[in-house]
Amino acid sequence: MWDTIIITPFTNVLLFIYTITGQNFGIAIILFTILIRLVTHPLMVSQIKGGQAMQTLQSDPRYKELQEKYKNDKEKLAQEQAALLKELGVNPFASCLPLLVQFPIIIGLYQSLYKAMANTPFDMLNLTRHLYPFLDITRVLPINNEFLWFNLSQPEKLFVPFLSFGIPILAILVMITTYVQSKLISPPPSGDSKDQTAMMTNMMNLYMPFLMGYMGLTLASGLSLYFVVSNVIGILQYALLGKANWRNVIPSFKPKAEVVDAKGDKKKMVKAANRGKK
Amino acid sequence: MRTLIPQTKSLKIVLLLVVSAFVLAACGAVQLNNWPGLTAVDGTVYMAQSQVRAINLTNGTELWHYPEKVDANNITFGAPLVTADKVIVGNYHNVVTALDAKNKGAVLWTFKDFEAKGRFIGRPTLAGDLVLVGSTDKVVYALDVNTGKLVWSFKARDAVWSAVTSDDRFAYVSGMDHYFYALDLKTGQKSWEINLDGPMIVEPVVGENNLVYVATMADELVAIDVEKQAVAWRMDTTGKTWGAPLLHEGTLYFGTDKNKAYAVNAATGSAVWSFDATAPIVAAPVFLGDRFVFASEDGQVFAMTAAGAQDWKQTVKGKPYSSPAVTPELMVVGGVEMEFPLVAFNAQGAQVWTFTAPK
Repeated sequence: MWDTIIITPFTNVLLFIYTITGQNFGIAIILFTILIRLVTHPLMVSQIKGGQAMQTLQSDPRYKELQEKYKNDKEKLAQEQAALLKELGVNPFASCLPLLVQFPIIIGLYQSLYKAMANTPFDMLNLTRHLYPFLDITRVLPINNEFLWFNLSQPEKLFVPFLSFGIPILAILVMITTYVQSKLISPPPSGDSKDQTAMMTNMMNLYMPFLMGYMGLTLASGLSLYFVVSNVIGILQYALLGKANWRNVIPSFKPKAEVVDAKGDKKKMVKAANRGKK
Repeated sequence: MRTLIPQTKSLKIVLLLVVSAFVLAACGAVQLNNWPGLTAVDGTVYMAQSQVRAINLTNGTELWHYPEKVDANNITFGAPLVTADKVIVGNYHNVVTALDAKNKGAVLWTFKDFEAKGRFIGRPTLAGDLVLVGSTDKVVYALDVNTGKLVWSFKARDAVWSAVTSDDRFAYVSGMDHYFYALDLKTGQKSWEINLDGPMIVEPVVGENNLVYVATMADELVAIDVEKQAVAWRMDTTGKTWGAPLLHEGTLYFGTDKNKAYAVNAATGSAVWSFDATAPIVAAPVFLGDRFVFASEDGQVFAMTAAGAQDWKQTVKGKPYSSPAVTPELMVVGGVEMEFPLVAFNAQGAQVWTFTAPK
């Protein structure tokens, strides 16, 4: 089921791109990653909107009032908050669900990359069985795994003459781009040193780059290339949507204007909140 | 019960942790998987599946294994080359190792090309004092069988997955790059080459009358005249051939992944007979007794007469993809998802023993 719906189509699209782009697997991975990010763009927008709506809500005076009023009755507070969310039309899961939908796609992409780079005769047997009829195997094979200075089926390291060891350039890029992306999408610092959510977000912002960097260091570099390209496109998407919190990365950065949703959703929510006050 | 907003934040973080664990599991747990390579010589069957195991051919008990524990950096699947005193294997980490066949697999020598990072997928072969082995790093290596020292190397256009075969003049290489190469056996210099318009994963088979046979993944069996350095004939096959054709008394026997078993006249390429199996055939057929034995993916192990009639049939639980190891009396079947990693049959098709690796 998983193979039929996700991995096989992904693998075939990836290999189709490979055959029409001069049989360069690195370029095929880059183009395929861009394609996947474009297809999942609406999910990302939905995720950003959901997250921003929650941030705006937390700065709403009525939300703070409720917290103060029901600080000793957590159950009542939850009920009142749920009512407020409903009144403002905010779905608390709107930022989580698109994220969850994207993960199977990311994992499918990973697995299809691995499948396309068949490592054993058994992998090759499976690959040939899952190729769609429009793909000519004599054009698909052999897969040209060489891209720039590295082999896409092996972990990457750049060896330079004056060093006795190789530098894992891609793994470093994976870490940097993952860190930058996660910082850009994090809400601005609240200034409250006891803010547990902020502390956990900071922890995740450190944890994820190391996790991804470790994967970049140990797995086939084709996947590291995917991670880097995917992160860079993600950063560009956030920047183009005006949702990147550059001050999280560059503290001296001064935004030109207050970040406002492109469709004016924030304004609508504030208005709705004001209506609620009256 | 905490407030709803921090709850959703916490939920996101928990989800992120769960998802990252899931990503690690989904992405990090990819392991090399293949069917075992098998070779039977002098009362012992050697099996390469991650580790190399020597198993008593009479009763299926293990004699020794190498390395001691499964080592992620020393994974072997290619069938071992067995000489009078050595078991030689190439692993998936660009290392060729010679083990002492008489001394419980003690390491005699290793060869590693530190410049390259390829995999030895095809089995090593012997040509006089040379061990020939191709790598996914595109290089064919010729090593001194006694010392493991490099004698010569040849770089193809792309990876070499299949075993390198030879006659007294040439080493024959069937490449993933669509090229069939004939190399001078003494120097490794390319003598000539032919583009066969299809990637090759199956080793060439040296026949009589200057013919060498090779299957391509373009669903073809090709005979090459090495005197004329040209294609002698081509035969379209229904499906791809994954196991090397068996040449016996002027006839080539092979199976395909589209359920076909073939017998083909080696001189002309015309079909003698074909047989519809019940599932894809990946393993090479073997000659046992006076029968040609094929194994299909649904676990059927069946014997055919030279005239194309089906004789005995047995079933194993699993997918017998490995090209069986064979002696005049026994054949040993292996594969993936097998109930028993190895099953031995005699020439009458009776099961003799099964093997499961000791814990």
